[in-house]
Amino acid sequence: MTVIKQGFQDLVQDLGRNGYTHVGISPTGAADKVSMRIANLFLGNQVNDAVLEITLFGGTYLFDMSTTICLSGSHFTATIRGDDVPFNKPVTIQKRDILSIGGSTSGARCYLAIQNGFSVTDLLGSSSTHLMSKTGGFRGRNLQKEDQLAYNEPEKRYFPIDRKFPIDHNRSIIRATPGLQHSLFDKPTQELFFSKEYTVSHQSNRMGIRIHGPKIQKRTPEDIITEGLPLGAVQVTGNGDSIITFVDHQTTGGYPKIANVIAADMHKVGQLRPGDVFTFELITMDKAETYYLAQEQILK
Amino acid sequence: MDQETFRPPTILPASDRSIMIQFNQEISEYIHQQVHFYSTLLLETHEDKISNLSPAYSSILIRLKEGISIWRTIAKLKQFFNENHEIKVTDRTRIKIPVCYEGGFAPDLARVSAHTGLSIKQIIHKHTTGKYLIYFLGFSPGFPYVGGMDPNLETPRLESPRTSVPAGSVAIGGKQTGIYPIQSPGGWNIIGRTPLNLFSWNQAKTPALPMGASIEFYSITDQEFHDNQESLF
Repeated sequence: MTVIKQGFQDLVQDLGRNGYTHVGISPTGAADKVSMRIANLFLGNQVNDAVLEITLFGGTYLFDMSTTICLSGSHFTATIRGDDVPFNKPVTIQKRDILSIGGSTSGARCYLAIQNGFSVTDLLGSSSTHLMSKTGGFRGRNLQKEDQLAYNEPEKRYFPIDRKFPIDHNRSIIRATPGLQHSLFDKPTQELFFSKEYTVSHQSNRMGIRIHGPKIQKRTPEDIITEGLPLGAVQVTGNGDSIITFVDHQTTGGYPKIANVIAADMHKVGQLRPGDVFTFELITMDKAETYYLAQEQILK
Repeated sequence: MDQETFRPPTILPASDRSIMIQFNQEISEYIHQQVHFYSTLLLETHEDKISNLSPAYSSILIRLKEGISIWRTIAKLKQFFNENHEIKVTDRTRIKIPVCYEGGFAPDLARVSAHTGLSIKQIIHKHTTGKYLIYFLGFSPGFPYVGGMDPNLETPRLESPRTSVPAGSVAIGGKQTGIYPIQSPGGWNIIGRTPLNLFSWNQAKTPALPMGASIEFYSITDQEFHDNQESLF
């Protein structure tokens, strides 16, 4: 697939590079793994097959070999030969077809899956791009004009077209469990944290989603001893700002964590875009696990 | 290690998909040995449940594989830590690291000197006479958290981090010293650079600067840096 026009940030991603945080290597992977998996499921792919993650606005892509694709995630304008391309449906591609993806009409990202996946050099068992270390994916970076991204040969296949995935996509409410250091914050501060609205900052990226809201102060000024960072941890910095730890995160950190986004809502974090407003909803660890297991059932 | 004094760690959920194992919350070689021993053992014995594991100064964070239940795993881990393991630490790897503390390799040496009141010669002397322990790797690929720096060298981090620190940079951040194995952003005071290649993606599982190794720095000249570069790579 040849890039004719470059998108804002087109990255090759899969479910991530797991098994290396103890040597400082970030797990990375798709920002919205739910949409990424759904795109693959519609094509009958392996769930971990490499997809293209398209952020805010896409580019124009020429296909060198006929195949089948599927778009999923937030809705972006998309056309082939002047026709709108439906989302969440397998779409047949002829050799020399040109796919143009425009801007998003909802959240931050959509996913372009292709039959049997895109093909890049494997790095430690994953095709995911990690931007900070400039590794993985396609040459460790976003796709640029004239890049040629290879994809695997398709075969004749039955596509499960009428599947429904009843997933909660409402990103104005993000559910969270208490963070590891929630007790470093007094009760009124915790209540403040869970009652106010937050706006997503322009300084957000795949390492962390910076959010503007009430300044959160902990009881004592001391930092905590540096420790491992869970995905989705809401870290409170020295000046009282909050950051949601995201997929490309550093493996360890020293800021206290007041809350942790639940696994079943991490896909919503991947769809947050600058200027979005949301609130956190506090739930128990038991409920969080129940929601996670229920979501896994839906994505089987 | 004295088995009588080993206190099983506190084990609690960090999120609905991860578990924090907290040893005594202190930075010490004694606690480090427990963290090192158990993170190695857990990776060997719980591979079916753990997708990622992050040891740190006094804790181990475990991220669970898909579908693994958090509460059941916590219950099993509590049993595991009551099994009276003999906490053995293998002989420490000793690594000597050549560092050029000159010119363009050491842009913040003057800042460290101004803050500490030490001359540049004294800073290099103190930095090269220290014996350091790698507590764990974190932050970025292969980045060692190193303990044992002379407290007189303590210098606050830069007000705004650099967007790019060259690979091999040796730096001081607050009470800690460290090395940037790959080019990355960073907010520590850069006082020198090593010509050694300290991280290879092909050998990610066996990093050049592993957890538990002891390291020493020795000073080399700019000329030696360039002469040695090829052979040391």
